[in-house]
Formats: sequence, structure tokens, C-alpha cells
Amino acid sequence: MTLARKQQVLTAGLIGFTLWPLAQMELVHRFGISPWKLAGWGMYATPRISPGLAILVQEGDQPPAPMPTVPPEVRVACQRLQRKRLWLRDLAPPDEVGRLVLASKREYRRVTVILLQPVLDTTSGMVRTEEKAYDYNR
Amino acid sequence: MLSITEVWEYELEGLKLGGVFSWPLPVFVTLCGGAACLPAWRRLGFFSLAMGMAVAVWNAFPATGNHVYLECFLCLICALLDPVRSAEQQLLTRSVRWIGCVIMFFAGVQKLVHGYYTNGLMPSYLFQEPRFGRIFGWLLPASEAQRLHSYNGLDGSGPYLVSAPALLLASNAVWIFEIALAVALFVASTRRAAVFAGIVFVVLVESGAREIMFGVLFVSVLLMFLSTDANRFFVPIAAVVCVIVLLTQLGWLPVELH
Repeated sequence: MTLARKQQVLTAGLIGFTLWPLAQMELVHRFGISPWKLAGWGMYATPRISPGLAILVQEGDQPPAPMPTVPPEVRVACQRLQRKRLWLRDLAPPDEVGRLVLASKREYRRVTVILLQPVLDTTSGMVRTEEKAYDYNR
Repeated sequence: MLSITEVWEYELEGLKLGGVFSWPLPVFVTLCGGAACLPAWRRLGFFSLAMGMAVAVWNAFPATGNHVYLECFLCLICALLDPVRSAEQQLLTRSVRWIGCVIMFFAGVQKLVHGYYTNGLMPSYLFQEPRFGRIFGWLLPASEAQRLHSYNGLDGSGPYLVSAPALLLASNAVWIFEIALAVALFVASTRRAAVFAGIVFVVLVESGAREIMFGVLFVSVLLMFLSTDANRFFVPIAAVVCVIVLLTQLGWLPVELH
């Protein structure tokens, strides 16, 4: 490869390297992903607080209720989701958890996975929890 | 050397957490690292090392540390350019310098735009962690420190807002310094002073954050801004740090790194 060609390749790479953090910041803004990750160089820009989750199940005409017993495979999927969700937020929907819960009992007609994301409010300085519900129907 | 340590450290960490040690990637990157040191195999070694680091990025995704992406990118540049040729060596140096400026600049910008530094929220929230508490404790009056310690960080806790001038000053100094450093590193007349200020800053930050591998990598990037081949002298220090990191992961040293 000639020097000029190498220069072109390198320039393209460096332009990508320079512009990528702007794209990452847009992902942070749009999907709530963590500024810490994905090479946007925003380490320690925001507090990192692990998300929680709740699972509500609905049998027949009964109202939604917390899942009475959580099978091990659902528990493992929840832990995996929490780890992903910490960094990817809305880019990590709980589809796998919803599918596994529906598959765990034939009587479940509907599953709601509620993701609880604590955030430190920049105005009040208080920790508050943002909730996002995902519904899965049989 | 840093990439090899990174991969071994990751696997050892997994082992410590009850997983199994997966040999292929650590052995592969070690061989690639060795090949990269041999003139005849240098480019292929660095290219393979970049591929190995891409696998490391994938394995840890999305929790991959930013320095792993950086190592991957730097290995690709080293595979592309031949530092034996003067023109390409110059290109390599300029590229790494530009990368250093970009990282510093965006580190500061991200701290500014998310709004946790202008009001001191981030340091006061981090204060709860012992590793940061020791540092920020110097900047807070006892009453404020006691108040922050009483919060559990969960829903409804706070307010984390503080009025201590020293903490607010330090909090704002961080993002201002990072952006200013990026500019100072870019301008030739301020470059030398900026390198030394940057190294002191990285050491200070890492004394709390303890992102050892990122710290060592970034000091090495900063040294590229000097006209002398300062990295030649930094290699033994980096090697010692890598050995300490690995020995600590093996549990052979009673040090807590993270």
C-alpha cells in the first residue's frame, strides 16, 4: 500500500473516531444508553445506578399480579437483562424475560415486565425512579 | 502489552466470579503480541491483535471498557503504518496525538452536557463510594459529609446538592480542565506543559477511579505528545503495573484495584 493510500485510510478512520462520540451522545439522548460506554468517552459523566425490575402476570380474567414463583431460567434472564440494561437502557428490551415467563406457565395470558431505572435528578438532586412497562401477550 | 494484560485480566476476573477460564483468546493475543514485536511479523501481529481485541470488545459488550476500543483502534493503526519509515512514523505520532485530544475533549464535553458537574452532583454522589470518599472528603465540611453519608443512593434519597465551594470548584475544574487540556495538547507552544499537567491529572483521577489499565494507556498516549521517545522509558513502568494487575487478579497480592 502506498503512503498516500495509507494516509487516506487513516484519515477516514480518524474522522470516524472523531465523529463517533457525537453519534454516541445522540444514542444517549434518544435511547437513554449510558454515556460511560460505547467509546463516547463519557466515563463518570453520570451516576451509574443499577435498574430493578418487576414482573406482573395475568391469568384469565384476573387482574395483573406479581409472579408468584420465579423459575431459575427467568431469574438468570432477569440478571442478564439488568446487566445489559444498566448500559443500553431502551436498546435492551426485556423480550427474553417476557417470552420465558409466558412459556413458564400455560395459564399466563399476559405478562408485564416493569423496568425501574433510578436516576439522579439534576435539578432537585434527589434519586427518583423512572418506570417503563413492556407488555407481552400469549 | 496492555492488550495482553487486559485479556488475561478479563478472563481471571471471570474465573474469580465463578466462571471458567477460557484459554483461546488470552493465548491468541499473547502470541499476536509476541509477533508484533518481531519486525518481520509486526504488521500481521498488530492486525491479529486488533482482531483479538475486537473479540474482547464483543465478549464484554456492552460493559466493554472504552480503553479496549481504544486499544483495538491503536493496534489497527500500528498494523497499517510502518514506524521504521520516517514519514509513517510521523503519521503514527500525529494520529495518536489527535486521538488523545479527541478523548480528552469529549470526556470534558460529556461531563458538561449531562449536567452532573456544574452543580457538583456527581462528586457528591460518588462520595458514597469509599474509594472516592477518601478524595472528596477533603473538600467537604464535616456536616455535609455526614449528610451525604446518610443517603443510601436508592429511590427518594437526597438531595445530593452541596454548597461546599471547594467541592463545586473541583467539580467544575474537572470538565474545564479536560477541555482545556485537549486544546493545550493541540497547540504546539503549550504541549509540553499540557503533557505533564495531563499525567498529574490522570494519576489523580485514577487514584479514585482505579481504572488502572486506562490510566496506563492514556499516560502512554500523552507521552506521544513529547518530541522525545518518552514511551521507551515508560515501558518498564507499564510492565510492572501489568504484572501487579495480573498478580492482584490471581490473588497473590493483597491489593484492591477496583
